[in-house]
Amino acid sequence: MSKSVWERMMDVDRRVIYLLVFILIMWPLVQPMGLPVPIASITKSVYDAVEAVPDGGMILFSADHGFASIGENGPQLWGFMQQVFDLQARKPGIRIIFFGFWMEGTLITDTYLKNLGKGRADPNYGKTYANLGWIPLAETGMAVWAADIHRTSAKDMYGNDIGTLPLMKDLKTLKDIVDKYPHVLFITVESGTPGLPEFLRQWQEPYNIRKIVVACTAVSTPGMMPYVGTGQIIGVVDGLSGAAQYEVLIRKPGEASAGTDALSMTHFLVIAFVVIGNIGYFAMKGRKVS
Amino acid sequence: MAWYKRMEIPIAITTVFALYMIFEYFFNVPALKPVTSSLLVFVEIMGVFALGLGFISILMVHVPNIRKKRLYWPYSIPLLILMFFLTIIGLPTWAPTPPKEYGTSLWILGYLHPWFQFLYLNVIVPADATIFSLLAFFIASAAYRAFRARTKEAAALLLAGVLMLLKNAPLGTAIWMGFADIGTWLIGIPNMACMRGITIGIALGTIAIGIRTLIGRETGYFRGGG
Amino acid sequence: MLVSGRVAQFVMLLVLCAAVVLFIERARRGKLPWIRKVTGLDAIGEAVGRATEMGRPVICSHGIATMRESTYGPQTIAGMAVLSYVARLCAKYGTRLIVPVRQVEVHPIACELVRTAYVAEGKPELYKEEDIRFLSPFQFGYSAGYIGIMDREKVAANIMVGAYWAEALQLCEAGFRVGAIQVGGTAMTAQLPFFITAADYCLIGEEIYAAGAYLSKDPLQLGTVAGQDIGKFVCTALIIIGVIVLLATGKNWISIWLGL
Repeated sequence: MSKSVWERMMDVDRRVIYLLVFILIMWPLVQPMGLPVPIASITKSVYDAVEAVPDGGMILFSADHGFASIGENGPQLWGFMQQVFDLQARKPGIRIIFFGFWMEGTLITDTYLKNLGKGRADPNYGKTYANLGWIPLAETGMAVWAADIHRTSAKDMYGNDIGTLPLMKDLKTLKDIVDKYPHVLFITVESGTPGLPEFLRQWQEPYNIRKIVVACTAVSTPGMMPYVGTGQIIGVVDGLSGAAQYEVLIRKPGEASAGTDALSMTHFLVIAFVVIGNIGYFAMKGRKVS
Repeated sequence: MAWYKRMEIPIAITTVFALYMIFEYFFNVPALKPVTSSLLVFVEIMGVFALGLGFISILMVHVPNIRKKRLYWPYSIPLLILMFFLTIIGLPTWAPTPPKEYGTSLWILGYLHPWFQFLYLNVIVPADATIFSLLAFFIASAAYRAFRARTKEAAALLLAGVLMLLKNAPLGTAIWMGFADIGTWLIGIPNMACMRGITIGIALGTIAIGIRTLIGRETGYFRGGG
Repeated sequence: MLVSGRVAQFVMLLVLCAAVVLFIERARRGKLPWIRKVTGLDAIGEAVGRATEMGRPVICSHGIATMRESTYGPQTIAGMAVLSYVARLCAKYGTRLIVPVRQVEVHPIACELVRTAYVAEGKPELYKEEDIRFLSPFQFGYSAGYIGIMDREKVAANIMVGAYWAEALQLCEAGFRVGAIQVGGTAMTAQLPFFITAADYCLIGEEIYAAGAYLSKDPLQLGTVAGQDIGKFVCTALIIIGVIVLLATGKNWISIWLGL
């Protein structure tokens, strides 16, 4: 017996859904539409917090995501790195320490540093910024690193002894960093665990790291909101749309701006299918009742 | 039963070290700080040794697969070949004149080997990203299937879901800025309240399971039998 | 002596421990606490029964975290408690059980746990170590392997209790595709929406921690579940008092008093 229209609406073959999702992702990437990107307050507060780092301040920068989420976290990380180095150019007393508790995040950081002309080959490396690479074992690693940086990160990302880096020579614990630099901003670009809750437990409360900004995948954002509400973090860059907003704020459009068109199209496709499914459901329900 | 197989030993070790860590967290005893630091480093070292366990586990599964020609045994062959290949080329190598950008050490860590980098960046990373990207399709089909207003609660879920979709899509907020305000309110007020409640409940549950572990009633982590 | 800023936490911990000890003592004397029905946990038996009738295997995972982390380790322990229960049911009914594992250090524990369950049911010959499969330490390698197992083996029941991340929705959708009945439970707040929408039954947050006690019906474990509810009452009271004080005085006295 052939299905009625309402039954078909309730039971669309998922391959049709997948095909349409594919088309609506590819089409805007090939033919960008240039849709507007409104700025959210939680994204603006992150931007303002980074811009507010004064000369003589310290930025701790942790890349805690993998290659799998590079679609969302990559543009966030790239936007932040461009902004912090531009900031350092305007305020030469700012110092930056890169590290990560996800191995892949540190590889991505290193790649982006090279793209910016920074890294091992840069004469300023080790003086105004340092890349300490991967710190293993997640939350335990956070606790150990904070207590003894030189023991945990004995060598930096490029194999240099940490004691030979002018920036890191006297910074043996996280307490030393907080004591030496009156304004410490912690930026974390993350997609899971270890992530913000671990940082809050191991660093914010014991070492008084109060200024924290987060960039995360969109699915993690609802879980971050309680921390925004209590003031434990300043703001959140929310997924790909947040990254696009950030690119607008730093005036450097990139991958995220290109991807927001695809984001919009697929969101509307999902809404359309939800509406179709519900119309079919209520129509069938009405038929059964009558 | 041999004395080292007795159940009381892992329970005792867990209890002693857990109580020590709790004590050290709450009480300021400077003499204990180096001990705690060392213990945490021990955990790191033990964790690294666990990598060897994984290697042996894979051998224990896939070598018998090939020997006994079980279902899908041909897939075990490339798996084992690649596993050994990556392990061997991933070992540190001696480089008399190392490339400048890799530092001053003469031992180059194996992950910097060009073959390792090639396989990692061109096989593992794209494969990882591909599986992650399936989420885009699965979310669409799951939302279509699940967002049906069968009950009042389901209708509320549907409405909240659609409003969040409109907020997250830049096109939605471009059509009407109100969607951004509604979405921000939803995520900032009711969502935050619910998340706080769930987080508090989870934290209390975590403490309860910790207490059960400390008193030896939760033995699922080292033996079974219910 | 106490580290400043942690006094309130210490007091709260003592209150919670005291409540747990109190309810354990009551349970020892026969006064068992009443635990409400948890539909998801009851559905596990139904899922295994369905798999037995259909002659198809059960797949049961305990999450993808290790046991070492402070927040996710307990979820893995809770998942192990559920795995132990599922293993005993599968042994009892003679149903094949497949256990995919992501963390290498958890693999020998999972093997021992399932083997002990089969021995306890008097069916050691049914235990197959090759069905406790270490798949991959990569999250999406594990997910791909898990989906592959579900597709090839046509599992009838998919039970997932533990710490999950982005692969949660993938596994649920793959399970739906093969027609498996699915019970999902996690304390990962970001993944709860996916389990709620995509799984047939969902254990939300702390319900997974009660799983071991609920399924084993051990009086002492049930006592700890009741004890944690005391903690909830204390937190609720602090929230209500805090809101009233804040509205009345305009100052967050509770935070000041607790040193937060």
